Amino acid sequence: MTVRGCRDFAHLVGAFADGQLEAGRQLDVEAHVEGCGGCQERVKLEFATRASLKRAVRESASDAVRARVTAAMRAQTDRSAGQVVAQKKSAAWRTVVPLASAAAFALAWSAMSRGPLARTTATSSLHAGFGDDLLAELVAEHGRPSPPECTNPKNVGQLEQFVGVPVRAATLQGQHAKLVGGCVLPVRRERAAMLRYELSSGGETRRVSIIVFDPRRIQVSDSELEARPVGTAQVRVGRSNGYSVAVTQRAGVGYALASDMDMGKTAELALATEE
Amino acid sequence: MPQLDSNSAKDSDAFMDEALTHLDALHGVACRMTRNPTEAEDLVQDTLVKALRARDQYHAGTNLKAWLFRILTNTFINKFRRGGLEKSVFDGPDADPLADGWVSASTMRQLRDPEQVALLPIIEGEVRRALDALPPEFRLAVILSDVEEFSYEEIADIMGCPMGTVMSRLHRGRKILQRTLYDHALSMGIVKAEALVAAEPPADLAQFRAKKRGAA
Repeated sequence: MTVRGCRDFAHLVGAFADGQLEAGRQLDVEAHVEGCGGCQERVKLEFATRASLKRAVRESASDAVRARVTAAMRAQTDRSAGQVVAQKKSAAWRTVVPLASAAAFALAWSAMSRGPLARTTATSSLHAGFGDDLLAELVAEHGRPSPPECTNPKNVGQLEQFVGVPVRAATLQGQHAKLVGGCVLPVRRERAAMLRYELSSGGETRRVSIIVFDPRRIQVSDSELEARPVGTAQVRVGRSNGYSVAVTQRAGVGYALASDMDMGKTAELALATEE
Repeated sequence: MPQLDSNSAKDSDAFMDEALTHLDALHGVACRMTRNPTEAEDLVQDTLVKALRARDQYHAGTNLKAWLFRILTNTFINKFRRGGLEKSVFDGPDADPLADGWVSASTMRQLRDPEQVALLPIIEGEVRRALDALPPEFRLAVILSDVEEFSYEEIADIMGCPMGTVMSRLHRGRKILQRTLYDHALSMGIVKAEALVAAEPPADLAQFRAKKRGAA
């Protein structure tokens, strides 16, 4: 068999291995391959490539992804049925708008902060979840992050002057946590700090959003959450829009977390928010 | 306010359950197309919510998986590739040593593991990187065929292109992939370099694109 013959068939070998050639063609290629050691190897290499690709690409969706997608689909079903869950929330959020344009805030963060309109849009896009403003905002922000105002972990402490409690970039149990960014988040007539992290482990990246707030000024109505003891501490956990949520308080500072991970993991992280 | 009709709710639940059986496949492909886990999650969620919204357009008993992948592909194109997938593949003869048989049968044998019929010495991460480096239109064709095992006809339908284009994208995509893996094997010392015939093909994507632009 000449090299010329192989060249004639080379572009068909893949389709032949796929069994996708039209019958006559399939037989032609088969006849050539049977008598040609080189092309037999070529067919085997095609199969080998395929098998390796299957291994490399097949990865099952995590429980968190499954939960999130299921929740979004349920919300769509509810919406189609005219049951717009978030409707009652939008009124409450309008009261926040004047605050966001307060002069000092605008001066400090004007370069990158979002306008009040954008915030209203983000909130109305929330389709299932908590009646509580802080948690609703947390979940909405986690789902559609706004641009960060500061990305350097060292500068995160400056958010304290707006929030009234210490704000630190946490190492989150040292799990290769990377601070993506932080910003001031208006909540009702108060402000909180919003910090976003990415945790990587085993090649996977998981997002965690944390609101740091002053519990004397912002109360979380956590009736929709369940208590979960982690060690000696109490964390309240729940689930909204496919994300898991955890709320805790330590040393007079409130922490609310939303993450793509499961509730147990989120509860653990809630206790690792300090340093 | 319209009442939730119990029949339509049941339909919707059944559709959801069936659609979610393809979640792993959609997610795996979304990860390789976006190359970003967060974007992949968004893409899968958008796809399934859109499918649910448009489920009246799906004819029960036909191929749900292919239908979902068509939505995924369109969503991906709209979101990430405004210009659509590239229509043409680069011209010129197959100046590829693996395609044209310039690499010996024994080198091809060394590239794979005879026991498992997979590319044994090349770790999964390397295969994934090689795949990620492919132009998206090739990558999608290769994944739909080799991983999800769609027929060429289904792939043509999903990607909205003729069968001939599918074949061409698959052929080119696999050749670039094998070439990348061959180069990797070469640098790892898994295979020995062979004297390649002149007219070297562009080995990396930038050169490949430049060549393509020059030809157009």
